[in-house]
Amino acid sequence: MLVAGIDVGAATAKAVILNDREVLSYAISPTGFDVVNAANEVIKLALEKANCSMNEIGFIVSTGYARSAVPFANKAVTEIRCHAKGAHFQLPAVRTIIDIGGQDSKVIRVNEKGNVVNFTMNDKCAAGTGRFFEVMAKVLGLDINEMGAVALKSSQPCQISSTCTVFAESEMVSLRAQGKRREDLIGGIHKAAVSRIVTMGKAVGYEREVVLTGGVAKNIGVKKFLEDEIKMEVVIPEEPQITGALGAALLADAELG
Amino acid sequence: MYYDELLRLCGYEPEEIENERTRIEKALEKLELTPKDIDRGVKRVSQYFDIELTSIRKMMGLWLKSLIDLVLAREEREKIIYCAAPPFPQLANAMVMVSKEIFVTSPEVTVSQTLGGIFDKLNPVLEAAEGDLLPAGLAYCSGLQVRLGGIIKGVIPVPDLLVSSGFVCDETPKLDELVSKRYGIPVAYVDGVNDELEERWPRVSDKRIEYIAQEARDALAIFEEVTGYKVTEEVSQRANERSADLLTRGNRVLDLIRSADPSPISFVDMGIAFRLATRVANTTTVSTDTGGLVDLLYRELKERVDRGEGVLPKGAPRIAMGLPWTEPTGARVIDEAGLAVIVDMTTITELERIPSEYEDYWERSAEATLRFCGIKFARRFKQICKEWGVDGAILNYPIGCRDLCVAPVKSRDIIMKELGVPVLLLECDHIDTRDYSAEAMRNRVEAFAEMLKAAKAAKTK
Repeated sequence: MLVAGIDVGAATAKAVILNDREVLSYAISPTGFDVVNAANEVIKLALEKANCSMNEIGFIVSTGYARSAVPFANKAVTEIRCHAKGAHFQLPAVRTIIDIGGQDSKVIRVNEKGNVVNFTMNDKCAAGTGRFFEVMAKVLGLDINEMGAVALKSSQPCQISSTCTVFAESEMVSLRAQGKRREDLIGGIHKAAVSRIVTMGKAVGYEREVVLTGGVAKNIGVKKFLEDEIKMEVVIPEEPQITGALGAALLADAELG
Repeated sequence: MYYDELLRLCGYEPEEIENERTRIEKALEKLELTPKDIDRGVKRVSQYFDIELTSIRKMMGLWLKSLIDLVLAREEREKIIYCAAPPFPQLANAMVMVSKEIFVTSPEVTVSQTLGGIFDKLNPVLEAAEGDLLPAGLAYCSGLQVRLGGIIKGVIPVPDLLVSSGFVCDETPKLDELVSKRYGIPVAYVDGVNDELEERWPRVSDKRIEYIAQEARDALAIFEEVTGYKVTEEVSQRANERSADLLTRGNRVLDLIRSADPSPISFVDMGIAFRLATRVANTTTVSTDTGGLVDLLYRELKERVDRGEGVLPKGAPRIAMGLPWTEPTGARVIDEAGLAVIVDMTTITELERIPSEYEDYWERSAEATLRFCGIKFARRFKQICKEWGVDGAILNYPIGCRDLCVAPVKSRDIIMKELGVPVLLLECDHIDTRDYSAEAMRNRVEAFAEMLKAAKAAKTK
């Protein structure tokens, strides 16, 4: 029986279709303003890739900020639980998940069954999230996808005293005016954001294996700075952006027994 | 009249409305509450509060009566006293008992419960304070903003005496000093240090007890000077007996909630109506049979429990909360996530019930008060979680509160480490809705609830 998971987040919508717990297809598309439309679009893309129709899907679980707005979902589950399930499926030895999404970041502790035992997430501030990197890339005139590689070239990351997305923007301008090297500026941005996430996660602690998920996991600089900070290897799944949707699909599969 | 429906919803009897009409209308005018605001009040009370329970409706009515009495106090009473909410409840309780001519209250509690909780019209009051001594963006206490903003807007009268305490938070005496200078009002400071050896709790340093007790006596001397009324030993004892009686009756309700599954009461009702009505005294609540309302609540909840009914599904995770919230939209998120709040920080722990060795009334009172506040927050909250065997706890930390912006973080670490009980921290202000939105909170609360439910289900298996 086919099942689907759909994760409509602040920046992107993701859908995964499973057949007997095997990933049949997945899709990622921007969320935009209309979350219902985003959900419809992304599931349509995933169905096309899987060469199947909505009628063949036995159960759908939605997650992400717009989970309750997905009209075709049978059940809505928070992304914390979905990320735990998804990451555990991708790496059964996982005990800590660091998820950095568009507008939030979370550190989730799971047990050997992939059940959440504790979590922490950013409250009101977007520093340490994908949005922070996006804004900084724009200030520096960089493609966001290039940032990680540039950050790795930094030998002396700048001290970014503020990790507030708004104030860090003006701090960037000031540091540029001082003639700081671009790679050190970008290294500093990574260091500041990672430091904020790691500090937040200390409330629940870090235990091996540590998995990094979410769109920001595609930034190789973040992985490196995280590893330096927590002194542990950080594993990135093959497609880290779909972990939540994958978890939702696994929960959908469990619903059908 | 356009407000009758709201008052009936809040437990007013028809003849009570008729008898009070002139006063009600005068108060509504001063409060600038329009028919549209009243309609919103009707909707909010119906939506957020358990109007099936007469006791809850009457407790909401009690808050409205407290507001009307407060607004009209200048023309109806001899003197008005504002007490800090409540670092030293025994002091306010005793002053309240002296005479009905002296209106004693913590205005920020009444105003936020009603203008905020019922009418969702607190912002103009907060903004008035922000345009004055407590500017926006500087992390000032929203409770104090309500007090100052209420005075500036003329919603609440300028008092004749401020009773201010600084041993929990330095903001209150600082503001009261400024208000005192501006309006020429005396302040009675009940001050002292907040430092205490944590390991000593629930015992308190003798020096601190003696010092605070003397400050209380000095405050009563100023009270006598301002009002002409003396707080005698007999008055203090009566006040003590009244609060002990309310505590006993309240504990009966809490014991019922503790043993019931499904939970018979929501967090909104437990916090706003029940806990605050019984723990924060003012002249109105003291003149009313609050104990009778608590008994009525007990009977109504008992009937529910006996019928096997509740407001949440059976087996819902049971949690401890920090302080009761005066704002129902955020509080409702906790109910909607399926979490049963069974206890909060205003509960007295078993450890604190050790008999006092002091003979002097004010020393005994100072000891009881000092056991409650300040740096023992973490130890107290851990003890509450332990005694009540909760599945989890939620603590909010309003960034503008000197005490609560730090203590919950420490509490979380201690409780998780020493008890293994998960704790969710929410950075939100339980009075000021501009500080957070219920929707922003929902994601965290729902994820926390899912985690607790899964853990509970695993334990049951």
